[in-house]
Amino acid sequence: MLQKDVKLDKTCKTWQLEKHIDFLQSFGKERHQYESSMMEFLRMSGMYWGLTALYLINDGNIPKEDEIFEFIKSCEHSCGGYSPAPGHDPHLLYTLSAVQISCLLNRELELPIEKIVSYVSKLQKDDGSFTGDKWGEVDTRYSFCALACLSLLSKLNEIDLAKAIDFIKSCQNFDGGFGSRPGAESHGGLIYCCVGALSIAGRLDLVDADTLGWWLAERQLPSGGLNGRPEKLPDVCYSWWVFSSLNILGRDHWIDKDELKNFILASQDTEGGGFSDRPGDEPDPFHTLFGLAALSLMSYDKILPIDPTYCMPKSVISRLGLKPQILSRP
Amino acid sequence: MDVDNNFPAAKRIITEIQNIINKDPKLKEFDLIIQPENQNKSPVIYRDHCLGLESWCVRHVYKYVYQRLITIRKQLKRQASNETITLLTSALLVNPEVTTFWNMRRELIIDGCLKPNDELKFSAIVLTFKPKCAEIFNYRRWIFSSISKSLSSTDIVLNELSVGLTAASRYPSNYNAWNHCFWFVQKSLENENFSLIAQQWEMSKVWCREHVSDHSCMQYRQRLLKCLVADKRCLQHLECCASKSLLKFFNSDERPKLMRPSEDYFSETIGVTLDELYFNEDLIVTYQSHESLWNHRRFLCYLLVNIYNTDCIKEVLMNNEKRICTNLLKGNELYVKKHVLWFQTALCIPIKLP
Repeated sequence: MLQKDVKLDKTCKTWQLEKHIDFLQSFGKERHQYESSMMEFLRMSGMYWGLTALYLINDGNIPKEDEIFEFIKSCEHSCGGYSPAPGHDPHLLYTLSAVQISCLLNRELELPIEKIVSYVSKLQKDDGSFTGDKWGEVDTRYSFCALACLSLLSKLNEIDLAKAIDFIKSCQNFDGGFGSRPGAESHGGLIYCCVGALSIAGRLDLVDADTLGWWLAERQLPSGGLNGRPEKLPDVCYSWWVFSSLNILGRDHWIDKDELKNFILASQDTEGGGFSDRPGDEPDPFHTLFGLAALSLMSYDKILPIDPTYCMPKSVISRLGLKPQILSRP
Repeated sequence: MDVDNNFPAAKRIITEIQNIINKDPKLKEFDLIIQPENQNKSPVIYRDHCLGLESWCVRHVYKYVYQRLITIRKQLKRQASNETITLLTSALLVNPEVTTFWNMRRELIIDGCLKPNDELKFSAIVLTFKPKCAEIFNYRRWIFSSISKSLSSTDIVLNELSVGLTAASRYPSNYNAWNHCFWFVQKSLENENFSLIAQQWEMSKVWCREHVSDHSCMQYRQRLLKCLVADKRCLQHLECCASKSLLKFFNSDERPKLMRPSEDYFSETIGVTLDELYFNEDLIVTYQSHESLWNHRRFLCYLLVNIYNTDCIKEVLMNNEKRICTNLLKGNELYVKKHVLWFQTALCIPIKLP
């Protein structure tokens, strides 16, 4: 067989809870200035990844909450959007991250909600799609950002939801999947965005759950890991995008969870903590969150439960009174 | 800022890079060159219209340009100085994912300080270093859609498609590159340039044959095929050998059942789909066990059943797939089994293997 995949060591890696907590708490601190300036263009999202991951494995404890909220305030723009770091331009991606972090801190009501709503709703186009910023690039990931952001602030009624849903539906393919735009190839990450958006809107009836579930289940490779598209290598982040989509669709039992667990654990850095995209690579907060989040969906160890739609702790989502739609098992 | 003092050579290095970009309209490539130590000479390598930067200096150069640019951006008024352009050029060559820096270039285009054509050249060079970087493709499309660059010229579109194809060749299943190409195909159709589809149909066939595990290219063909079967004006530019496929697929009893008089177009569209089905079969026979090829086949079967929803075609297709699955079972067990199962569940067509 010519399947692209990785080979796992026979010995199972042990679960490194303490090291992951250390990794997440110290990330950024002792890093070289070059690395942090290279990654600063996505710092707000980096903080969301790191803090959510830490929350999940540290009993909901996040240090230096005031400092974090100050950082969010320093990225606020007069248009209502947030930038990834001071001096950068506002973008929907980082606006969602800012709102998500604020919810995690239980301080979302201190945000300038009306301005954020105005920023997000102005990015909606006539066909229902959303652009990421004022420069006009359309992508279904921005539909998810908009719906997630507004629903977290209880303002979902401020956009044309029916049109937003129509646009997402127009990106559905024959294989049940979704791409970034109408006609674009089905893609694990964008499927999560579209299924997640429909879950927020309570319109999962528009998904062909069996056909899509089939495609998603086919992402599992012999190593146990999941890829995002045919003939791509497995990657820990798709353990989240693909597996959470299967959870939302009530078809999580269509893949082998023990093998997935095994692949995710094999992608731990057993020395410094954290998870990488696949075994042997450098760990980072992005893959650490998505590895831990997938393990949480499988009720691993004492990881706090995560919400498959929002990729935020379940306790936070229930505090906000949100009930994203989930399909029951067929 | 004290960064100047930490690495005084930064300014000289980025000026050298900017000068090369300004002076060489044929510059074609950028890459980092692994060199852990300072060699006491310029780290900028320039040869045969290719630009390289030695790796030892990258962190120093980036730190310098990044901090300068953020300082400038925080001033919140547009800085149309040559210094800004020089800083942006090096910053984006090294780290093209920084949206804010591309936005600064967008503003410089709007202010007339950068020329759209030069920017297309510059961003194409950055693309050779990071061929899947979404921000570069976004920038290029923005130039076309907002700077009223005429997309009615076939040359411009063909050039853009070749930029996309180069990126696709440098990174397998390059999602952004193929989406970029299709964006231009769509724009051409809006401008009633129908011959482009036929040209891309031929081109991507050759490309697919050479990249049988590239699902994104096959999916690009799916999009082209949908255009071809939906619009006669697209199909007419195709050098069609479809009649051969029709004869091969249907026997003489079946053909009249399918062809309705006055629907020549109908037989042409089914012909081009069947052409692709036979092309796919050739590849599956030649290259065993490629998921991309089998997934593409699913699409083709789905299209046949859904466009030409007749009992006749279902029966012929069932027999055809039975033949393929039986002949190819050895060496393709997993994919044949999945194909049979998919046919049953998605198309409600049973395939009984012997």
